Formats: sequence, C-alpha cells, structure tokens
Amino acid sequence: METDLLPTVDRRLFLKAAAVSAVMSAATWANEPDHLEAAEKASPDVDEWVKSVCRFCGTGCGVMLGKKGGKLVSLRGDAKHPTTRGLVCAKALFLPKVVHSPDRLQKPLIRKNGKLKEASWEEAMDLVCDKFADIIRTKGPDAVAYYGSGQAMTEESYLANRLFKGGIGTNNVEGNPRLCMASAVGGYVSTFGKDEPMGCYDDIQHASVFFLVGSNTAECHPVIFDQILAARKSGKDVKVIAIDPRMSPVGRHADLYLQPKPGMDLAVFHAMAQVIIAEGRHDKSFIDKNVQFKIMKDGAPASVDFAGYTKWLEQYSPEEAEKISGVPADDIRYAARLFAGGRTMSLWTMGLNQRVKGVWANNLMHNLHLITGMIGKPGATPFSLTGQPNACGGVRDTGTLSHLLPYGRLVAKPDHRAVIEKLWGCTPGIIAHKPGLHTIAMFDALAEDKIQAMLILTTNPGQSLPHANKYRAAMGQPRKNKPFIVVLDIFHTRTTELADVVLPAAMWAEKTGVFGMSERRYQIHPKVTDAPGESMSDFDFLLKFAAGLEDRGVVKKGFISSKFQNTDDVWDECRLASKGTPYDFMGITRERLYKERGLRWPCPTETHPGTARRFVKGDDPLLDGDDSLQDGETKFYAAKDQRAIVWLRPVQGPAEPVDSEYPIVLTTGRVLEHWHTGSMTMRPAELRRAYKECFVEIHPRDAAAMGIRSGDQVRITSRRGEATMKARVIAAPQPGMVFVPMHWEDDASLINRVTINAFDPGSKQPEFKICAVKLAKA
Amino acid sequence: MRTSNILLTVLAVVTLGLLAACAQNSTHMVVTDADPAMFADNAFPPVIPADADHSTGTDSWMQESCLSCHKDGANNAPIVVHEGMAAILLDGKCRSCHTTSEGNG
Repeated sequence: METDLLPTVDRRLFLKAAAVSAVMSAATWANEPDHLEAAEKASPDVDEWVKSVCRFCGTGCGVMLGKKGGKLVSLRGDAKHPTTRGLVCAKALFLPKVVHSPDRLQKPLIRKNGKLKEASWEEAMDLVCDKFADIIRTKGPDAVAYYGSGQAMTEESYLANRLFKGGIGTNNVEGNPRLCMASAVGGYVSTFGKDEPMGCYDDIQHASVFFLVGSNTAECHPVIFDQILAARKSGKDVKVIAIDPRMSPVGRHADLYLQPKPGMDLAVFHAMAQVIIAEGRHDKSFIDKNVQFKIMKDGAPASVDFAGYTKWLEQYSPEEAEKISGVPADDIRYAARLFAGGRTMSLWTMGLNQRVKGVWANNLMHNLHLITGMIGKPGATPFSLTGQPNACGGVRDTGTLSHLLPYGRLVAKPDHRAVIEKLWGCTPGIIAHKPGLHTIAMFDALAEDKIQAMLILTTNPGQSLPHANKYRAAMGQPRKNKPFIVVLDIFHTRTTELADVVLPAAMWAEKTGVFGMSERRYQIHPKVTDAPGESMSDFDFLLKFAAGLEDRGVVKKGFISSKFQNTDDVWDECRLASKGTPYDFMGITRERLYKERGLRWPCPTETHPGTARRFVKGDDPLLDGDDSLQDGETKFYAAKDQRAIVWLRPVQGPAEPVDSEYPIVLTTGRVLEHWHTGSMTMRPAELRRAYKECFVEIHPRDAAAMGIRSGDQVRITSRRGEATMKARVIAAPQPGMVFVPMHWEDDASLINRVTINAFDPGSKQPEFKICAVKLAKA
Repeated sequence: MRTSNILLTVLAVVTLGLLAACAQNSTHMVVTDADPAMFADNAFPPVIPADADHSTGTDSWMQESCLSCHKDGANNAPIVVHEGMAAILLDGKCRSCHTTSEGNG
C-alpha cells in the first residue's frame, strides 16, 4: 500500500514551498561558496554536512549528506564539486528516503521447504560456505560463479575478483556492466588499445557541437543534459545533434534530429565520414600522425590506407545511407558539416551499446572523431556515458569480468597472470588462462545445471536479464540439481525470490568505499549512518565468505583473511595493482580522496593533480618523457604502433528483424524518476507517483491501425514471452516501433520476459534495444 | 510398477510446474515510505501538482513551459524564485528536481 506522505498540494502551496525551500533543495544548483553557506545556515535540522557521491548513475554527481544524530536526514548537491557543481537530479534528492525505507532487509533468510525463513548470520554463512566448498571440491572451481555489479564499491568488486580468480581458481566472474557498457569497452579497446574515455566532463564547457547518439541524456543523465542546456544558453553558438530511433526529450530539443531505423545508424556514421572526407573537412595532418585503418579479412585485421578507406566509404553515400537508414541524405550532410565544423563532443549510451553490433557502432563513433581530429582537445572527444555509479572504476578497471584482470590486464596473457598472481600471493598457476563464462553464457550454464552455485551481489538479474523467463527458471525453478543461489541485497527483489539464501546488505551511505565514474574520476563515499538491523556490507560478507572457504580448504589459508581488515587495505592493493599501467593511480591515496572532490587517473604520484585528458602531451603524465611531442599533441600510446584504428565495419542489422508474424520493433529504456529495475526508486512515494505504472509508447499511426487508444491495456508478445501494460499513444517512437521503460517488476509488465538474449560476438552484450514483437489489445 | 513410475513422473512434472509458476507470480515490491520525522525540514523538493494546469505533456522537459507562467506570474501563477541558484545552472529543466505527481510529463 502506498503511504501518501507528500500529498498533492495546491499550486499556491507548491510554489510557496518551492520558494521557501529554494535555499535548501533547489540551492543544490548553487555554485558559489556563499550559496553553500546560505544553504547550510538554512538547515538547522542538520548537525553536519559530509562530502560524498551519488548512488545512482555514472555521472558521479558530488553530493553533501546531511547528518543529524548519526542519521542521514538530507542530501543536496555539492556546489564545490568541480564537474557537477551542485547539480543533482530528483533520484538523488530522494536517496535518504531509500536508505530509511521500512522495506529494507534486516535479517538473513534461508529457504526451507520452499519458503524463505529468518536465520542467524552464523547459520547462513555456514550453509553458504559449506555449499560452495562442497561444490568446488566435488565439481571443480568452474562449477561456481560470481555475478556482481557496477553498484558495488571498488574494494568489493576487487575483493570478489581476487577471491574467485586467484583463490578459488575460476574465471566465472561477471557483473551487470556486461549488460550496459561492454560494447563501449570493446570500442575503446579495439580502437585505442585500452578501455575508458580519454576526455572528461570539462569538455562540456568547451564543446560547440554535441552529438548525442542513442542516448536519452535528458532522462538517464539529467545533470549532463542540464549542463548541455546551460552551454547552449550561454551565448555561445552551440548546436545539439541527436540521433535515435525514438524521439526522446533529447530529440525534441535538438537543433538537428536524425531518426534512423533501429539498428541501421551505422550507415549514417559511414555516410557522415564519407561527406567529411569528400568535402575536405577531415584533418589530414592528425590522421597522418595518429591513425591507421583496418578491415577484417578472413577473420584477421588487415591494413588499408587512407585512399582505400575513402574508396570503401563510397558505398555509403548519403543517398545510399538514406535507403538503408531512412535518414534524409541532406540531414546526414548537415550533421557531417556540423560535426566537422565544431569542437565536437559525442555522448552515447545504451542505444549504441545494447546491440549485436554494439562494438562496431562504437568503432564508427571513434572513426568520426579520428578523421576530423576531434579528440584530445578541449570540447572534442568521444565519450561513452555509463549508467551505474561504479561500472567504470569498480568493474571495468578492477577487471571484474570473465576475461579481465585488474587495470587493463587479460587472463589470456601469461605475463599478466604472473604479475597478478605474484601481487595477490596466489598458488602459482591458479588463475585459469581461459576466460570464464560471460553473463549470458553463465546463466545458460546455470539453466543446464553446469554451474551449481552462484553468488549474486547488489544486482537484480531476475528482472534485468533479457529472455527473463528462461533465466528466472534457471535460477529458481525447483529441480533435482537446482543450482544454489545466494543473493545479497538491500530489498527483496525479483531475484531474492529465486534465491536459496538472501542476505541483508548495507548500502552506500552505510559503508565507506570508492566509486569510479565515467570520466575516470575516483571519489570516496564515507559511511555516515548505520545499516538497519543485521545488515552487513558486501565487503564484510566477502571477508567472512573468504575466511569460510579458507577454513574449508578450498582457498589457500590466509589468501584473503591475512591481507585485509577493511576497505582501506584493499584500496592500497588496488593502487599497487595499477602501478606502471596506463591506469596508474598510485597518487590517489585514501587521504586525498577524503580531502579532494575526486581525482582522475592516471595520477601516478601523490602530488599529481590527476589527468583531464589522456593521450595528450602536457596533460597525460604517461607522455611526460616523450620529447617528440609538443604540449597539446596527441599520442595513442596504448594502441598498436601508437596509432588509433579507424575500422571499416560493414553495416549489419539486428539479430531479430521484424517479419509478418512479429512486425513491430520493441526497444526498452528509462524514465527520469526511476532507475534500472526500480528496486530503490520505487520506494519513495514521490518518485513512485511520477510514473505509477508501466506503459508502452506507440506511434499514433500504428495505434490507429490496431484500434488502440491511450490508456488501453496492450499485450506485447515476442518469441520468448509477453508483457501487458497501458498504452501511451505518442509520436515518439517511429512507426513500426514501440518503447517500454524497464523499471517495473510486476509480473504483467516485466518487459525483459519479451527482450532477446542475442549478444554482440565481441562484447557479449545483449541486444536489449531491438527485438521483434507483435501487439494486441489485452 | 511401470504405471506407478509414470504416475510419479507426471506428479513430479506437475509439482515442478506449479512451483515454477508460483515463483514467477509473486511480487515483492511493497511501496511504503519512510517516517517523515527522520528527515530535515525541506529535505525534498516540492512535487509538481497533478492538475490540468500542470499537465504540460512533452513540453515539460524545458523550463520555458513552467516559466511561461511562473516567471512573471501569468495566469495568476505565483512567481517562483530559486534564491541562491547560480544563473548558468538555472538553465536546466525543472523536472530534474521536481517530480510530477501522475506521470504527466
């Protein structure tokens, strides 16, 4: 039942309250210290304001947490934060309500006779450790798996990775970032040799053209979009180009909006490149110094020269691209000229990444920047936004995926394994040379009972995986060899209901650790309040779990237990693991994290200020010794031959094209007020009310053809399952396409029952953005 | 013997099916809210009212749709003053902080 604590107010009261609360809540946008002080004076209910970082997306907004009597009582933007400057969004402002939600899990639960029953931590830990140890002994290390999260702290993900790969000896280590940014990783690595953006949020202040691709920035990264709007209103000549099959709020307010057929934007990118070169708008000098061209031939990359690339692009003239993508040729030309004519910052998210050709789409974004030299300069950069607070720092950087080791290393490389085994004090040779199972393969193996035990931390795969019916059954369907599922979370979710053991977790402000967001900035969030009941941080659980496995002889004695007492200890080992790599953050000490508003790696010494732009002489410390470069010049030192690669990738469509039986494209996404599976944002009544129920956006033409009106219940069916929700007839998706936000967990509207588990062969990221469905009035 | 095996198999399959169906039909989300006494005064931004005047549809994404009334008091709307906000950061959208009451955005 929804408790209406903030009843709808009349307009006068609302506006009066808005004015009164300006200094407190709306002054989250202040960016001057005196405004900050005014806000603090206006908050007599707060004993102390503590610097922290937001719990939600990868923007990494600086926040101030208000404490009173040892409790979290308020949150506002941190006006002194160097990049978000006091901006936050509604989700953040209501975080204190999430923390204090009466729904929080507070005691361990063990499934007995089919039902979850309260248990002691001792009983639960014994059961978990006994089960894992028994399976490791009898079935081997690869019969267990870890599925983590871009919401866990860096120290937690690093520790889990260390335990599973270096202690247990399995590379079955995955996490939900595989679902959201693996293709961005694949794009950065295959083009530049190493992961993570080279630019930073400062570039927003310098850009004159924003190229927003497959990104509903207005809703998914509102603080970034607000900064773009501010730049546009600043008096500078700033243009926004949006490209998205669905006209989101970004498209509605862009200077140029391109609406390609789903999955066909690759043709648009090639055509833009073709126009740029044909009209002489490319940067020949930059290309000559920094770029090479490759095409896949017979399964291996082959070199091509600039002339060969130019010739290859001829197949994608604007007119040809219009035939493929549906985007008018003249709009493509205009977009190309804008792109090449400004300081251009590209920003993209799931619209590019969640595709079977996600890596290729990322490559083509980089191509545009490389041929125009729009990279490594203030305001010019290809920048992949991330959706979680610590997908970058916690999972990508620590290597907590099945093929990675910390800080850019690979399990497949013997020298990388050797370095990490030595650092970790492993039994030599314990880190397997073969990558473990990626997320979809891991849950497929669960369905086949090949994986017999899985530890799931801080994520909700029972709702968030594509083809959810299949993987929910894999996790929860009773059967003879049903895998043993352990879940740590702060609330009951659609995953805890499938688990054999559910453990109550401490969240965010209840523990101390580091988040690393999209611009390589590492920031600490300190503990400001106690967790409810018997909740325990994932970190403390992992320490106990590791000790239990050591006691049972399946992990080397002392491998974890003799090394770490707290997250500070793990952080110091993370720094050591980064030393000498392109990630080097030896200089980001705990003390500096508490004192400063985060630091961007590389940051090799304790006096280094951090790096705004990688690969740029004078900024990136890894180029300090290179006297061949002038300040401001670029060198892609992580790439083969120190040249970034422009890839010649053919245009290919989605895994499941529409047909006569399933004639509509389904795409999924988000709304501003909710986040991912809604397990947190559905708790505060104010956020919940913003969108009371799930909906499907249908183009008026399609709605008319099917006799559907706004408010009708509509059933969406794919080859994998169905979902039912209210229709919202609106010319946002293009004809032949529907859009459903993914936040609702109720059975009827759990949209991932419908989505497809096809994945990009390079990044292994599923194609959430495109599958074929049919619609009917329910 | 064979008949009993078949019956047992059928029973097992039905039971498994029922259990699986139960697992897939439960919904755990219980929307409650925290005790307001736990929070500082004015800790949360006011919610946009759910009435016809504020059902601005797709235009609600830009502050101009709000300020068309609330900047100068048009249509008898009270003037909103966000005292203390830096000018450049006022150029965002109202819905970044102020949620709607009934999804009227």
